[in-house]
Amino acid sequence: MTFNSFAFLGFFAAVMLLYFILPSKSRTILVFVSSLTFYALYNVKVTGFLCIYMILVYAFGILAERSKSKAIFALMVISGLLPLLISKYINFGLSIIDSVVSHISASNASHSVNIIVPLGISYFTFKSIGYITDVYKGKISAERNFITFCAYISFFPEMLAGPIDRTDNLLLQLKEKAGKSFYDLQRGVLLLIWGYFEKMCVADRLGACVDTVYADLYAYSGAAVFVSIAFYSLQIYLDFAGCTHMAMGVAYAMGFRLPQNFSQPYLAVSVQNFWKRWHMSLMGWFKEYVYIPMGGNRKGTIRKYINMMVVFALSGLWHGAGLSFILWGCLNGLLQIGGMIVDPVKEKAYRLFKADTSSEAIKWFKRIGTYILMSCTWVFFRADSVKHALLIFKRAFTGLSLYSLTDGTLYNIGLNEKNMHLLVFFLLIILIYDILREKGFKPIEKILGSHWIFKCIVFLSVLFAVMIFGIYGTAFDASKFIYMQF
Amino acid sequence: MKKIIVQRTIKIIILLAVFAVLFSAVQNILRHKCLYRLDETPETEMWEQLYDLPKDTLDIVFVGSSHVYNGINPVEFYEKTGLKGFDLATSNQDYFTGYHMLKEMFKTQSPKYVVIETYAFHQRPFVDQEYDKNLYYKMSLDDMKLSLNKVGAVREWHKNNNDINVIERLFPVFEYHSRWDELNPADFSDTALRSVELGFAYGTTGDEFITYRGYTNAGTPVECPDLAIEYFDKIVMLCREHGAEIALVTVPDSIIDAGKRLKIGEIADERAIPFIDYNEPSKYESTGLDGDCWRDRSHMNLKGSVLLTDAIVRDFKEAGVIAVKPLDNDRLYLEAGKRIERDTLNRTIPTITDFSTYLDILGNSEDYGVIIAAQGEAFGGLDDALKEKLSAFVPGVDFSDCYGRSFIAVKGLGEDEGILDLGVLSLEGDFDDKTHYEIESVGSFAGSDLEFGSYATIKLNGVDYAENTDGLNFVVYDKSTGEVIDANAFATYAEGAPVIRLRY
Repeated sequence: MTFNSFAFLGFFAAVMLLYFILPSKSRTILVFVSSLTFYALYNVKVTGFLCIYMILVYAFGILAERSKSKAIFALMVISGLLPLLISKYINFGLSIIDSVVSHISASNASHSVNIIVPLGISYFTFKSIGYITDVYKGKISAERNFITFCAYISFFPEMLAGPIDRTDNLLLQLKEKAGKSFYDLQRGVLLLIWGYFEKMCVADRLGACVDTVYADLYAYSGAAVFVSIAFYSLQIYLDFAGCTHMAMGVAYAMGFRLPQNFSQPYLAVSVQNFWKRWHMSLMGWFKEYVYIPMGGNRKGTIRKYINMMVVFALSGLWHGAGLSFILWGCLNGLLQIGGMIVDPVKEKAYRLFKADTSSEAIKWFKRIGTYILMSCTWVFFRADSVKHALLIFKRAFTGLSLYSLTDGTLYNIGLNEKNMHLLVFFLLIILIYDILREKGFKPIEKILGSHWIFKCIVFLSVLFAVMIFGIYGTAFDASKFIYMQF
Repeated sequence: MKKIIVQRTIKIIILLAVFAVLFSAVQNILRHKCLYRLDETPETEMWEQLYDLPKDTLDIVFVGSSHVYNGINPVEFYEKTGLKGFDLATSNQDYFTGYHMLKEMFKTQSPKYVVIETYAFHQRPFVDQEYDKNLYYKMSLDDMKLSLNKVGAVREWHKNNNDINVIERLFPVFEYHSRWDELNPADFSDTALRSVELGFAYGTTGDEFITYRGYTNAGTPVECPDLAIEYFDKIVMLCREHGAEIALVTVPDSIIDAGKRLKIGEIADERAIPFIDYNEPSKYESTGLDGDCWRDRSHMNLKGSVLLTDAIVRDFKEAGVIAVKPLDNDRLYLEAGKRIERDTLNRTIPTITDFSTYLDILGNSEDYGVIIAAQGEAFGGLDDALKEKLSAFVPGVDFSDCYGRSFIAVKGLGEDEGILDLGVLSLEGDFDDKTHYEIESVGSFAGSDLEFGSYATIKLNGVDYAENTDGLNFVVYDKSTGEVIDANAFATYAEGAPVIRLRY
């Protein structure tokens, strides 16, 4: 059950109905029950696993509070990570072993384990590890109320695509007494619809182009491949940001505030700046629970760079079990470190040419540069393998001609002319929205603060835009309806 | 606090109401109006016409597949019996669909008779046979109004085919939303489809000369699928609950399996339902149907439908299946009849190849405006008889000395006017508030410098419809709709050569 399914809309409507009918004090119980129901609708057997996992982490929390033994803490962290490692990475590990063995001996044996990856395991595992660590470090006391604890770990809006919540946010909110707010409901619904717009109208439309080109690279070259590379970086942003907005919207409607996950990442002026704006909850988690415990930047420059590389390699691995993901993470780490090394030189150059680095022109120059760099790294993320990624670059530089940007070539990469124009229009809306936010203007808050008729117009416009222009459901194909005479 | 709650409730109700109105409008625009060819699948129009009928209008309903909507003509039936009929028929309809459509019909209508076509007896509902059932179900059910009946139908359908998305079928906009980039003016029109009256699709194209072959074998009874019988019995029960008498009819098909017919006969006998099979050779012969009564090998054309309907009326009367009523000149049926006649003529005019017949038909009708412009030598091929006919067609113009002259005429649009002369002729004016015309003609004797520069122009609202070819250029204008139904030229220039139509 994904956010953009009719089943989820029905589920959400039922939860909201209960939320407004039941007394405020039962909010946590409702979150717990609805989260388990949400999970059970995905897979009943895996729900049993989630329950056992939550019981285990609940016990670990109490143990971490009582015992200050590093060994026990390490054991608890490893135990907490184990299901994630097994379910998500075991086949990757086996494939590496097979590959090594095949190099040593002549064996071509291939091993794999058929295992169900529980929904949201990356998210609830990281939440759990963060919780155990915070309790162990004495930042918070172990949660004694089992329902509250489970509601925190299994909070259903965060199960699909995060954000990765921390104990100082959602857990505290679950323990607070909160009234029901009509404003929260409006904000939540608007965020939810905005998320649908980002995902279904823009990201999925971009995806149609990207999939078409990546699936048949030998049929495309030059500008078409460049456009698909550029589109993919936008697709992944809007897909992920859309899901985050949906999660935030659902949570908001029930009175919960989730952490921001994105802060206009493609308006970043450098790769370092990009990573402060991209998947903020994950990078924050890595900083808090990996980078700082490893020494952070306190143990010299070289160690700092190593720590950064470890964090980025792990970040790549978190996104997917594959060498191309690790390479993508490492590339980003290298770009970060490279940026740090080059920064002083760049500053000197700016001073030498008396360039005003705060000017909009310089900022846009840097933004475009960062966007190009990031788009190149995303190729490794999207490609099936490193070899495939290199082929994409090769095809991009084959038969490159600016003329193909205007000769209709771009209407043959998965979208027809009308859809392509619509996509450009939607991207402009997204760009304006992000620029406004960058400048401190809060569009959603402004809309919510306006006259109710204007609010209704905005609400219905976005809703109908999603309904009509969204990519979802059984796409209508007139040719399917043409039948033989009988 | 109470005031705020009331205010919020009112705002939410207004928002939901606006949403519902917009949703319905968007669904209406985006839904696919024509699942095959514009004139061959009448489902959308059929539903609209059924819902538009005043309550308790119908006396008789014909349920079935395309054989029914092509073959049984409710206007003809009305004219012969006084009974107001309706073709509740959809493409490849089986008894599952037929049952739910009848349930929907009985909500507003209470016909005394329900005539069920037998084609569906050997079709198993929900199972793909020769054609994709799901597509036909979509065609049949998408335009049914949202109701418990529709929910029930879609649920049954989903139960038998998990691929079917219930929400998409209840709100088809969720499937058809991706049509936004292919919308055309017809999608914004109330009547997207033409040539459908009272569910009867009379405008179907194609005229095939079919030699009726009758039964393929003597056969032993061919069993019907249980589910087909189950739904047929539901139909029987439903009709009887509503006090409607049932009759079974097999509409002629050029090929039919005798074994199936035998089984249907048994079923009809068991349930004491009258059954007439027009595929039975003697019955087929009694209809007077001939090879030119077919659209294709299994569907009637308009001529066929009139003959078949007359035969059904005759046989139903003889068998006491129906009791006729005096004709009450119901406007609905009279106007439908006129539209059928007119629409048929509209489609016939562009196919007339004989110049004399063309002038006769247009000259005898007051429904059309005709504009003529001659180009080049336009009269050399006309004999005296045709010249006389043309004189009668455009009164006041003498064609006895017309060789090489320019000629323009406007007939049936305000005052008739015709000019035959040397030189460049032109005429300009307005037919009505909407249509402005400009006509020009240059014959072959217009002037030595123009001898090879002759031309004809017939512009309506700036668009030149003239065929721009030597001879007489015609544009025929439907006065009621304002549409150009024919633009052609007749090759009237070559002496001794036949006058042929230059465009079809």
